[in-house]
Amino acid sequence: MIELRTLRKEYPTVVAVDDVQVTIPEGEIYGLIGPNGAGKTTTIRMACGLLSPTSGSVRICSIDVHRQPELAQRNIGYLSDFFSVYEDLKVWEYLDYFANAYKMAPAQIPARIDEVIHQVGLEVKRDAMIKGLSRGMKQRMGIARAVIHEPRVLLLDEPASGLDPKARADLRNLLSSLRDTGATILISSHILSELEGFCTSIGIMERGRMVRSGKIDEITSAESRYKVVRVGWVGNADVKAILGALPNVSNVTVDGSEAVFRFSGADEELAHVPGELTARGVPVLSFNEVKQTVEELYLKLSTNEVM
Amino acid sequence: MNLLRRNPELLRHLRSELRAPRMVLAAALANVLCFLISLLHSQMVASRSYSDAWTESNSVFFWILIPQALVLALWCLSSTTQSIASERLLKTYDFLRTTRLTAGELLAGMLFGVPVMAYFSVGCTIPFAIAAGLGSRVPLSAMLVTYFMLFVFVVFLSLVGLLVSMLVQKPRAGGALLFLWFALTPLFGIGMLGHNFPYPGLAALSIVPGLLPLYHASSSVSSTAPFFGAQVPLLFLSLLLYGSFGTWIVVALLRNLRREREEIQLLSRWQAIGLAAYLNLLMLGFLDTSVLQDGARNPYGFTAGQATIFHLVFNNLIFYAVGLATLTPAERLKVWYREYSEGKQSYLSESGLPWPWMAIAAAVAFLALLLETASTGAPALGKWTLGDSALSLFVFLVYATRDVLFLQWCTLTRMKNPILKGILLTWLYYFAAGVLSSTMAAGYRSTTPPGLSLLTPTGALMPGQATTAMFGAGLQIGVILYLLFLIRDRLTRAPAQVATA
Repeated sequence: MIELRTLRKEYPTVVAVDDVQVTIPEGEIYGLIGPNGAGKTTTIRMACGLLSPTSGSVRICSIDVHRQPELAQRNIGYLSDFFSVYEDLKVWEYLDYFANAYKMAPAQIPARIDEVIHQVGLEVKRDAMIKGLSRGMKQRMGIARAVIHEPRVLLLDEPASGLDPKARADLRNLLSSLRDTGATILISSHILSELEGFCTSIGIMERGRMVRSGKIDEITSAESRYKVVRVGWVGNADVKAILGALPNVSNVTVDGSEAVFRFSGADEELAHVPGELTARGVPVLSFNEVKQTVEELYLKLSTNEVM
Repeated sequence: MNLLRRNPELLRHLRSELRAPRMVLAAALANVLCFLISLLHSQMVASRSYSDAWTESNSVFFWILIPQALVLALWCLSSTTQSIASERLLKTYDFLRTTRLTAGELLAGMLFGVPVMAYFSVGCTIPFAIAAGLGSRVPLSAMLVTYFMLFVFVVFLSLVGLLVSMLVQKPRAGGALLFLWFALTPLFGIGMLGHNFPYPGLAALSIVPGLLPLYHASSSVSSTAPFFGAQVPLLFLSLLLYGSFGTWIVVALLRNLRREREEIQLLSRWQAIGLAAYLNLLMLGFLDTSVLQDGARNPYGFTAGQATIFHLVFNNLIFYAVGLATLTPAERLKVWYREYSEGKQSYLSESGLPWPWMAIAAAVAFLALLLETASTGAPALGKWTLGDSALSLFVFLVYATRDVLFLQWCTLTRMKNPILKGILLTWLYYFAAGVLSSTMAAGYRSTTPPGLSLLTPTGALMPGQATTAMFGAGLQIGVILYLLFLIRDRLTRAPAQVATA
């Protein structure tokens, strides 16, 4: 769906993006993470055709964005970090403008405008002037603009920048609903908690290079030689000693009636651990793997660049 | 018309600018102003402080027309000059560039949409002005032609405004220069007719000389000018000039409107050569050889030699125009050099250095000079032999090439706004060269100090200083070689990896 092929962008004195190669399949939510200045924005601007690459190519839905820009734009919705909207238009006029600019069939436009306005929750503001809207509402307008033509790919560059926590949560819900409609989303952010539980894949960029790219689960399992497991029980059993005696278990820390430990064996072996505890008289209340957060994964994989 | 019908960009401007309350207010204000002007006019006529005789030229129509023209022109220029730059600043332009609008649709929408309020406000007053004109026996056809020419003029101004807006970083930059140009153009146009100038058709650069005869305003002003030997009305020549120059601007806009500012290259190589050829052809068409040959008609006006100097200086400007229009963006130049080194690209490539194309423009200029000389039927233009002219063109080419290569080098450095800064530094160089030469030559009995011929191309215009001018050109060729070395050094330097914030 999104193919970045040896994408490179050179400025007179620096290489902003250095031979980035990524393929994002349909339906993926790909989080592009990295410190400020890592090349995320340049990558996204090249991906949506705003910036010509020095070398390499971008294909969206098998169309070369730079060779057939008009055709490619039909499939692309783009939103940047800080942006303005046309303040002297009404909400519906703004969306109507972009629907026409994307050359949608005129007969479909009014219904689509209503649908998108409903999707971003701006029904009551349909006929209001944009200049009277709050920052969060304008951000919703931006999203509405980006999806008005029903693009198959959304390219979002730090979409939550400058938003308050409530607006961020709203944006997150909105993007989740778009994900559910089957859109492929490439989203960049340096605030990793924004992407938590939302992305299916990540790419870590540093100094213009793609340090690591792939599905979160695959990267986690490839990078982790152990799983982190949390167990809860009732009673006063010496769980630390019991766990410490089990094979493949290490770094056991106990906090009240809960313990966290590392397990370096196979999943089948891990499945026996609750049984072992029960057999040794520990009434197990909970047993689950502690998933690594995107932030932990990033910190593990990055070369400690400044965030 | 398809570009305008259902053009979203135009519709956006119509919606945002022409809201009913604003329209009512603008129309009311404009007509109140017209009424006040006509009241003032009638009072002045009644008191006979203005004129004793009632003529067409002091009709209230002109009292309204002049403010209309000024308001329309300044409003169009001001709004278009700010349009693209301010959209870039607000990042809304990125969203436009990611739509499916073509450059042509964007251009048409902006051209007529950005100044739409100006068109509306002035349009509201046209019926008033025409009614006033008819009341004072001004021919309707003359008034309609005037408004048509005014429309052509402001469309051209809007194109210039959009071009400037596409190039500048800040919305207000370049505005002052444009306003100065706007203020001087009419004077320039009228001035062309006064002194048996050998290119009288250039008077059509202003629409005023062409319109004056329609109102029998000045019998001394010719309403026609020679164009390739035939007498053509100035109004048609104005249409030709504005139409053709406007077309060149449209070519540059269509080529670059959807590009990032740093990636702009105004014209392709061959388009730039085409522009040079067109401008030379235009000058050839405008040349009135009878003025040069007829001493009785031209007792103190231009001589053939001065016409040659005009041609040479004009072509010097064309060299700069070709060089500036074909400056290659730094990134493309780097890629070109890499591929050129590997034998994949030619030196004359679209992404290469601009100087070979400036040399081709010089060849075009010389060809035009040959045709110009042939058109006079004389072996040379005045005292200028073809050899002298070729030598002068060469000297001009050398200096222009040096300056353009300097600008190209600037684009490869870390400078912010490299081209603007490069141009300012070049001006500073010429200013310093002039001051230094004058200071050093204090007391030297010559109109042009020899130092000036060494450092600037002025010696190329004085056949007596040909040797100094050639020596100066030789020095500049050394500078050019050094600049080429510096450019090559920049192009081969490995870029640093991006530094994180």
